[in-house]
Amino acid sequence: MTALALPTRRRLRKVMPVYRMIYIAIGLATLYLIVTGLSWDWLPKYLPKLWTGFQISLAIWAASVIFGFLIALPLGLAQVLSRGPLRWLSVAYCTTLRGTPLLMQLWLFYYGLGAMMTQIPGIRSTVLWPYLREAWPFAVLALSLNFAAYAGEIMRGAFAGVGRGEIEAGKAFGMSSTKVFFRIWLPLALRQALPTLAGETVMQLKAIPLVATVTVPEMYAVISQSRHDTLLTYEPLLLIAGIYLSLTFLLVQALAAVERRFSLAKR
Amino acid sequence: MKKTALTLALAFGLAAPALAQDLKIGIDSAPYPPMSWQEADGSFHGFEVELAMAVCAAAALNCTHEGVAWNGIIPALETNKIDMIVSSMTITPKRQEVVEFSDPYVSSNAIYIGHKDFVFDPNDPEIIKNTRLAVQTGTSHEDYLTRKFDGQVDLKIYQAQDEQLADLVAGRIDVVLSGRMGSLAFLSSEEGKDFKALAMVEDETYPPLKIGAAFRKGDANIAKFNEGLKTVLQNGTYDEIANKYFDFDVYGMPKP
Repeated sequence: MTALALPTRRRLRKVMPVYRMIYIAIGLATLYLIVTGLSWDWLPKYLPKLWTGFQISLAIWAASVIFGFLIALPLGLAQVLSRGPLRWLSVAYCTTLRGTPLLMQLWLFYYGLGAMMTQIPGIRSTVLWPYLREAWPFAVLALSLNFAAYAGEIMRGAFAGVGRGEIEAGKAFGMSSTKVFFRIWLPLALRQALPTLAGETVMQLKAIPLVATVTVPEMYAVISQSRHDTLLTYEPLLLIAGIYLSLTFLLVQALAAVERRFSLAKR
Repeated sequence: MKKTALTLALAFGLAAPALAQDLKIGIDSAPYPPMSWQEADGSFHGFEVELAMAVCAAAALNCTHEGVAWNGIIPALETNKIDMIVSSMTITPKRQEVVEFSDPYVSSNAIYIGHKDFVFDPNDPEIIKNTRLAVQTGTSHEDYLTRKFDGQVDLKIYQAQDEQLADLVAGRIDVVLSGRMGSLAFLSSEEGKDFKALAMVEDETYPPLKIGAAFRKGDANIAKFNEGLKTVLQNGTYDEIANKYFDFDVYGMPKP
């Protein structure tokens, strides 16, 4: 053993400690057993559908996170700024949407509101009808409103957490209230809320299979159809578990990179 | 029991063949309109009830109806509490292991249900392309549609029958493929009054389910019942009864 090899080995051990090697080995062995031990001959037939479903899943997730976040901003702000009806409204909104199951909300929107709208006379000849017939607008609506309630609560805390001094400093520079909001208050609040918001978006991703119950042909819908067709239990479920695990892993890595970029510690 | 009957018959000086045989027809005690239901006064009504009576009359069998819980209806047959089951029992290989069926008296095709003004033809690719077709997941109907259209048509997949019927009423889908007997309740309801069977599956790769009367294995009455059924089919009694309840050919098979 040369003197030079020692630090290299130490570095290697730091990156790849023994326990991590064991984890990886177990993971690979499990994967090998799943791939070779179970039957996957049904898969090629469903791949095109699965790919479409995957895109639908991601699109619904992205749309609901974006719309939800845009609704969350006024919700959070109202609870910090207002002392009157706006605050009550927004507190009531967040409490209701966070206090009831997402699946129930989804069904209320699709089978409740959505079905009721179809009974409005003349609605079937309007330009909106092709969209109102579809299930995905209601899925996006329900998921967005639900996400908004959680994100609104997070943003409330974040807005309240920004020091008064920083806002007053902005005002002292002669910035308008709008400018103070966009240049100081919002960015600082966002930076604070980022880790929690990141967690919420991951949760949101895992809520997407629920929309299969309102006939949106997303990934889980394809999986459950393949299960009915093939009478297989484990293979399709393991496959979708693997897909979600990989997606979550990628998402967490990406969000961590964003967090590092805007981290408070770097200030 | 048999002995008593014989003694009684002898005592009254009646020859055995002249005595109409008493048979108890077991029927699901839960209502299943329009096939069968029981009124508050205990009397049975419905298509199957009338048909069974007509068949019995034609076969010179003296039949009475008796309500039996569905899940105990085959054991009731096996223990002689009833003598036959005329209660929308689908002929399946599994049931044929324990009971023996008569000739089918109803066949239940899969039907395409849609609004009565909707133009639909399952064999016209142009129409199919512009139709939103729905089916319940995990059913043989779903298998059939996937097979028929080779996965080229976007099917709306539902978890339950009531969900897809609700969406049919809401106009979110145009056509539902469903079992005919399972759809009768919807089609005769207030909600379903604007809907009807637009087309029927006529495909030898997807034969209709058949319903027959179930007997104990080897029962001599099966042949009599079949004869009676043949008679009512030929003399128009069957159609007479069927027309009271259905606006389609519920027999669905070539008549003997």
